Amino acid sequence: MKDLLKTLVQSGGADYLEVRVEESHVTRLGFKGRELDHVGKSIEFGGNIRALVNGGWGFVSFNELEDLESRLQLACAQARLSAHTEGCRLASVPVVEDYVTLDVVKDPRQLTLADKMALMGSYNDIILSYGRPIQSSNVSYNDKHTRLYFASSEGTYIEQEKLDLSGSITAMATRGGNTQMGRVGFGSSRDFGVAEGLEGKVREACRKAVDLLDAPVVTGGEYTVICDPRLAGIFAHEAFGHLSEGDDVSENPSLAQVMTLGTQFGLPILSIYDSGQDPGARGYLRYDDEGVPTEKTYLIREGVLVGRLHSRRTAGRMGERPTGNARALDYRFPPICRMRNTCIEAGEATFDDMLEGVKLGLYVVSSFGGQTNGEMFTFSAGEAYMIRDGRLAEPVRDVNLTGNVFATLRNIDMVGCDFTPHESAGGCGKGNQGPLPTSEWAPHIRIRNVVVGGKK
Amino acid sequence: MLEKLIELALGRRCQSAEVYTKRSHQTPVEFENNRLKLIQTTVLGGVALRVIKDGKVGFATTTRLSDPGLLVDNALAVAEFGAEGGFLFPGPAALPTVKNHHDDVLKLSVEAMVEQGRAMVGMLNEYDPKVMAMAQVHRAWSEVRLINSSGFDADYTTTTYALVCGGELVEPQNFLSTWDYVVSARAEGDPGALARGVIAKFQSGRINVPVTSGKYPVILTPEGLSECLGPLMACINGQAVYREISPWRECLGEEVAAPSFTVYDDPLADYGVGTVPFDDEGVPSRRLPIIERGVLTNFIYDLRTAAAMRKSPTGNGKRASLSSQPTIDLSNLSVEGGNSSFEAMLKDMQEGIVVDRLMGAWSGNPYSGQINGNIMLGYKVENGQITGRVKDCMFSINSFDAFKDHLVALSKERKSLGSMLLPYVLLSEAGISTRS
Repeated sequence: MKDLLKTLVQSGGADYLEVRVEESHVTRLGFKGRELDHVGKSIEFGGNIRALVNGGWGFVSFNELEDLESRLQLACAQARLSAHTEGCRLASVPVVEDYVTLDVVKDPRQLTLADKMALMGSYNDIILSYGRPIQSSNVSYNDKHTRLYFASSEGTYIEQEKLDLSGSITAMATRGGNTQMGRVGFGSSRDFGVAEGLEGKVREACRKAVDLLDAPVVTGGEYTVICDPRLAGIFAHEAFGHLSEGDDVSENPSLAQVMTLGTQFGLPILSIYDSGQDPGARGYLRYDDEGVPTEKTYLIREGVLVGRLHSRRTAGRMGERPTGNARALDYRFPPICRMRNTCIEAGEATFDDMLEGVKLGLYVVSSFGGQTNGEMFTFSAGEAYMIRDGRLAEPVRDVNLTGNVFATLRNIDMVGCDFTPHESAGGCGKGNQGPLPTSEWAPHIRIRNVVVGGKK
Repeated sequence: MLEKLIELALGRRCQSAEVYTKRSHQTPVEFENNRLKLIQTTVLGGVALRVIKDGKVGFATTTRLSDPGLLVDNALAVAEFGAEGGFLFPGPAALPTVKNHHDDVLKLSVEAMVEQGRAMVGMLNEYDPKVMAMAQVHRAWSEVRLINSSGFDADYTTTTYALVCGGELVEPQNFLSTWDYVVSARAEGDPGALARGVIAKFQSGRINVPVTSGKYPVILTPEGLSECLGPLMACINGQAVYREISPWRECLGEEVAAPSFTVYDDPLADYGVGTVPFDDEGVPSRRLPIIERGVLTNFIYDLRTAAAMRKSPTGNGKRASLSSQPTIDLSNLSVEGGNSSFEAMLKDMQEGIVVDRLMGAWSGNPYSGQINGNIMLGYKVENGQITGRVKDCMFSINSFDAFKDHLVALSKERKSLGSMLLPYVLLSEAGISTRS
């Protein structure tokens, strides 16, 4: 493979050429209620060639490694067609030759399909034997082992082995027209062990789903909100991570002005970073899909904007350092600026400190998902509790939080000391590339003046 | 090749086998931030094999077509632990004739696509150089073939042509972004009209106006309506009915919406995005009423759920991707229009909100019916006029109540949004939450 790819990218025809080939073996299984919903094995083999000519990209992807020379010519022809006069400089990176092997704790490939089925089936049984009003379940497990080959016309050649495993276990309680959910998620880039020993958490998820049935719909309005580490992590990802991705900011002068490095975005207690270097995280990555080594990139340090997430093109355009954030979902797609493990750094507050003085607020835990358009964000809480006179009170349901990113960052007035790594299933979507494995680790945070949708 | 896979599977004592194959060729041309950014060609294909052995389902897929033996091995390994089948693959049947491809799409040159994209970007730049424009022009075709051991063997070719146009205007503390698209199986779509529509949205959204929390009458545009249909789609899914989590599981024949509300799944629509002669399991397509004049008339099923519930499959077994097993999904969702129009709804509105784009409305629990979404693009209406954009507020309805008790009118005009065909909808009330 090495000779084939290295020779190919030296054949010229563009300012820059790269080729990626990937072979992935995927196992998926899922239960829905009493029934095994799906189980399957997939072999995903394919590759792509990307060519850069005078600032324009051409990209060709395929399943068969035949006729690579003519595919390369097609990529070059497309790049020439999209070339523009002002050109584009790729930020320079060291030429690397490297072979990255897996550092696994417990390898899912050592387990049989029967083992994985039995484990997930046992969680499903816990839910279904919990009793009414637990009515149904949704259990899914995926693992993917990938061999990735990368060569560029600059001389970089990298072979990487990657592992991604994840799953989620959802209990559904139903009474009349009301269905509520409780969920346990897990994920790792090196250890099947994260899928084991979840029995207690699954029972807890059942209990929470049942409790939510009786919870009233939250009253809409503006609240002081304490976010648990999972939701705080999703906030960092949705509200600030996407805004820090270099693609738009490098080309949109007014956005670049809003995102000028050195701008104060929050209180000095707030630091946010994105890292590819946390072993075990689903967002762990040695090299990105442009062959750039990953790093720990601070976005906000002590409240001040200090960095962003770059590909070689966006870094080159802005005269900044490439950060190893160019990622592609798989061989079918070109790399674009993406997050890895996005974290809020630990602060000093305890949970009790955060509760103190909150007359009427919300404690929101976990999330079913979120979205951003750059300036505004929204996400749903998995569970939520009223805070009354500094104490946790009754659960409420259907809690969706929304806000302006910039105002909300300024309104983070406490950051917890309880930094918690957390992994879950699913991943990040951008354009048509998703779900990409990412992670979000954070402590509890407290935010003032968050708008919550709900009944009036 | 496909016949050989069936033979191999039956030779290894499978009771039945099915092979689905799809090959697609796509060429998107993408403009970002005013510039042509990328021209792509993807030529991808693969095979999915489903077998039933000892009553259990095995499933495996590959994009490496060189080793059929390995694919069969994988499917059999899965079948050992697979789900109980309980269904039969359908045999040969009369298939409807549908219009889902057009040669014009294949004849489109990349150079012409670049020109169309450039024209849209140019119009937005001309409107306001501060707007960073994006545009995409897509040309694609795919070939699908499905064969099974019951004797079904059919194929079809689809073509897709799409135009996307949008832009982003960034001012400190004020982002305005919007986009629109047309997609069809034939090369129809006017880049100029699309760009003009996007510019009109920018014009209405340039001025921000205040809004206070409360209940307001709301016009949902077709885009806004599409964000509010998640609960409906979740509740009519036969599997949610089978699992007894759909709150509508006992409601067939009952009124679940206002009498003016009618919903079809229409896989036979001319040149629709989801138009197919048969579903991904070989069940012939047919136009299926889901809600007729407010009354719930059908749930949708794939083979397996239909068999489990002793119902007929409805042609809704769909594969989200080559590597996914068939699950239940719609082909072309159509909400029938009414007698009103967007203009008339607006004219009669004293004080209200137009909701065009929502953010995060999908992220809640669909079975609760509750929709909460940040209004990404919406307008304030006073005395029949749009006065400006409303921002930083949350739109909340319970969609079960909204389409039943609060539905005032539907427009005659409808808009095609990918595989959906939707009207404007006027609701008598919706909750708006904002900062006090």
